[in-house]
Amino acid sequence: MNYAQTGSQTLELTSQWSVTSNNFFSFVASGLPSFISSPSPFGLVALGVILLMLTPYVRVLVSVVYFAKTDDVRYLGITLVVLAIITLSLLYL
Amino acid sequence: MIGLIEVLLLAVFAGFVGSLTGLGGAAIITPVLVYFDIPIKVAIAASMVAIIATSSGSASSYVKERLSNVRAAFFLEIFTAIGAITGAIVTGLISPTPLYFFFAGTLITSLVAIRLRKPKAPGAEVHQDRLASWLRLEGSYYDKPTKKEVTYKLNRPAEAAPGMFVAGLAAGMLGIGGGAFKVSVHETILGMPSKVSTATSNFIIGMTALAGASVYFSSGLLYLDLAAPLAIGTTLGAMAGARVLPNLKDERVRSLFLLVLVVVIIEMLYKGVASL
Repeated sequence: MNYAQTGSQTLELTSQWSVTSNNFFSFVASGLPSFISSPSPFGLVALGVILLMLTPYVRVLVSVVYFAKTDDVRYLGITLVVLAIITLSLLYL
Repeated sequence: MIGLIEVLLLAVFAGFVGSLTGLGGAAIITPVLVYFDIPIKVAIAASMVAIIATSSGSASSYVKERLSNVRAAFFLEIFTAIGAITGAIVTGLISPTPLYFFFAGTLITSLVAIRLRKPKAPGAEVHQDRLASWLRLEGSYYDKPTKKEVTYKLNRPAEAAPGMFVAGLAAGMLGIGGGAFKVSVHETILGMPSKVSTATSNFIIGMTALAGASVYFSSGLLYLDLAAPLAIGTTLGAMAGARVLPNLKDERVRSLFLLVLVVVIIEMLYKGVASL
């Protein structure tokens, strides 16, 4: 990504591109406001990766709503268990 | 070190093969990145983002085509997610060496089992056990190449559960092999048709990867300049693969899966020997 500055296409893997955060949600919580207040190349890429990583999470959320709406109690329970496991892992792992 | 263009090309290929086989593509991405002198843990962290991209790039069209069995996916995901978390926790505590051989051995067994598995005669009735019918593990889809509506019933979910836990363990500990394990369990225990197996695995792997992902946010191993082009490439590759899969015959899908499975087994053995 230093292509824009130097024209080099080699990925340098320098620390400016590495993510250091306590967990996913704190990465989201700290990443979003700082990007909005001061847009940066890292912030833009981080925003994209955050949105991508949220898609499986949204998939579980939508399924919970779907099974709730169709009164499918068994699968409402199952999807809620999956939601709980993934949420806990993102918060505490 | 690897360049941007090479990463993009690699990712498109991995996303395409990943979405057709249900393997997520990490088994292709990780060794290539390591070949280009990227540290293995950095490669695994970036692959995890690529797995989520492969899953998201193909899941929506597989659900639309009714190829993913969403009910089976969520039931199995309970065990896979717990496995992924367990794997991520114990990965620093115990040596992975025996695991590589354990996984290689198990995958060789499932390779043989899938090869020997005979396609069921059309109309053959599956007698579901009580848990399977309670979970309503069945489905149907329109098979484009044969122009037929295929209905199927799945069986033995209780036996699949420990297999899925092990699949999650592989994903969380080794970074590869989770998808290979899942598809093997789908086919040999549950009795899924190959396309349903691939599509359901693609639905699951994104959630599993996310469950094991938090570790990488605190470790500093996730480099976004590597992860971002991988994500873009695998998404595009997976979207293309998702358009191809419904038109393929089940036997083709299975052959492709077995081919990639051989690659995964060789990788496992190689890594196992290298870590001795």
